[in-house]
Amino acid sequence: MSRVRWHAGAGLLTFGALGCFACSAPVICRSDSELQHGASVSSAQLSGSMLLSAAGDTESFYLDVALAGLPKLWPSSSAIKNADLGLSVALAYTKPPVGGDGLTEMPRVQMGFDRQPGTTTSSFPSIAKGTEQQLFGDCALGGEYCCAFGSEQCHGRLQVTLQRLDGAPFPPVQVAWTVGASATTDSCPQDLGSPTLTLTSEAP
Amino acid sequence: MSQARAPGAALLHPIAPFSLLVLLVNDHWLKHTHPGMLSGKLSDFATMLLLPVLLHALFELGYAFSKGHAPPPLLSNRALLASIALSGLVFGLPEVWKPAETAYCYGMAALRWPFRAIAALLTGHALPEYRRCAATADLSDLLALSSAYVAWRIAHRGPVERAPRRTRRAHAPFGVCVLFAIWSYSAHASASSSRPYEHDGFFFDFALGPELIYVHSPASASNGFRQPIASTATALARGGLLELGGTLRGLGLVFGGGIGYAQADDPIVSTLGQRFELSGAQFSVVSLEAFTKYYPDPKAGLHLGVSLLFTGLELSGVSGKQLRGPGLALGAGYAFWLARQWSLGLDARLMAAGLNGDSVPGRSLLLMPGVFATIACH
Repeated sequence: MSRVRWHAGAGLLTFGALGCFACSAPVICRSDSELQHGASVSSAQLSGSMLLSAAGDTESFYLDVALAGLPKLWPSSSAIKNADLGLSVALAYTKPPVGGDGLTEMPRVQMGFDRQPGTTTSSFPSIAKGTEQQLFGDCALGGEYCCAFGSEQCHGRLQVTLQRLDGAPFPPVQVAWTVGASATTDSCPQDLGSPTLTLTSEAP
Repeated sequence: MSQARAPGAALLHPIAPFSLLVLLVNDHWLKHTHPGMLSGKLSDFATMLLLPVLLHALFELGYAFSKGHAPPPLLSNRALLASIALSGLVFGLPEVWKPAETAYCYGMAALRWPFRAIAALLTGHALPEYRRCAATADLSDLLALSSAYVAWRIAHRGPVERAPRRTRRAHAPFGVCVLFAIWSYSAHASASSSRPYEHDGFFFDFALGPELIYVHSPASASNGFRQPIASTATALARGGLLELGGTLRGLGLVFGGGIGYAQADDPIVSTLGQRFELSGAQFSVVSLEAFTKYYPDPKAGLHLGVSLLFTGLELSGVSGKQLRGPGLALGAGYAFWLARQWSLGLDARLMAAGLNGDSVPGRSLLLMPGVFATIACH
């Protein structure tokens, strides 16, 4: 009987030890980052303008995007929940009527990244027209501007191209562009990373 | 086989109809005209190849009929593994366990009777008697379990080269089959001299209980060991163990093989000076083992055990790495007799393993102490 008691006691002790070892930690991180609150960061916006006079006129410039301060320890899926670059353009004639009111016909302008055909402005533009490029996806899934798992900083260089599609009888048009980047990152525990996003432009 | 194969089309692989032909020719001609070892084994190999492929094809066709499309490759492969395991049990257990042999014979008789009855009615004879088959246990028949590997090769979906991890995992049931085949020799050798209320003869043990999973790794446990960042993880797991074996007469020594599985939710990870709970993640541990247990007094319940293991660990639900490696387990326990051959007991066990993974730096240490409620037939 004493042997039975000894075994029962040992069993209870082991259960207690297991319970102690596995007690809850104060911080909870979710394995599915979709359910986890992310931190959003944005870059400063860059802007500029160019004159496109005739059909086929093309201007381009480079953008460098850098996402730094990513957590040293990545969550199971990715530390970058999403990241994108937004480009918008507004058109105006150099002489009145300047247009851009939704009533004045204007030449169409195509905007795109890395010489890929992108968005085209309408013939009667009223508001700034934009396009987006996704950045820093999972390199395991491919993609041009991917970010390798575990990186503490990621970098992408994109070429922005603006091309006038329609020529005469439209006069020269001033194209004002604005570009900005934003990202949502996931870090748990939160103090393992402090992300920053910078954007710089450079003429080709 | 490509992923685009039609549901059930593995049955059309040249090896499958060839096996059917072998089965028919052997059972209806060769066994009668040239009885011997070759004819005795041919049908076993053909059956162990055809049965899982047939069960798997029925699953795929049933799925396609009900859902309107072929099952996804992962599900299809799991169904194939289940078919192989089921076929292995139906085929192998009667060779080593008398009750299973009896059940097999009555089951086969029940399956055959309708056909014999139809034949009798068509030929104007009286309905036949229900007659159980005659079976002779022959342990060398277990060699036919190796055909299951061929069944896997011809029926699984997805190329082997592109999924080495899954393929290696799929080798586990074949390891179990091999262990089962090897150790059942000793079980069979001593089963005939089994005495009531004594730990001798055939050994079967099923254990369930809580285990602690402790992992210390040079890689990051929280994202499936994908980064070279040292970490420690602990979790409370639900564990289970199935063991089969046999006893060496007069020594109280049991030898056998088994398979263990443990699963733990929400592990607690310590790394980079932080400690956090990884909610929604699961650690899964699978181990194949060859064990020996020692009963100092074969009539009493106290026993000590040692096992050699091959263990796999992964963090489920993330696209992480699987760690694998050898291990050792030490255990002790006590069992109380419930009936002439059955006992209920409590076992304590400590398992330790050194694990490695593809592209994972260094060796990870896995420690798993646990307490199990056991039920054993001995």
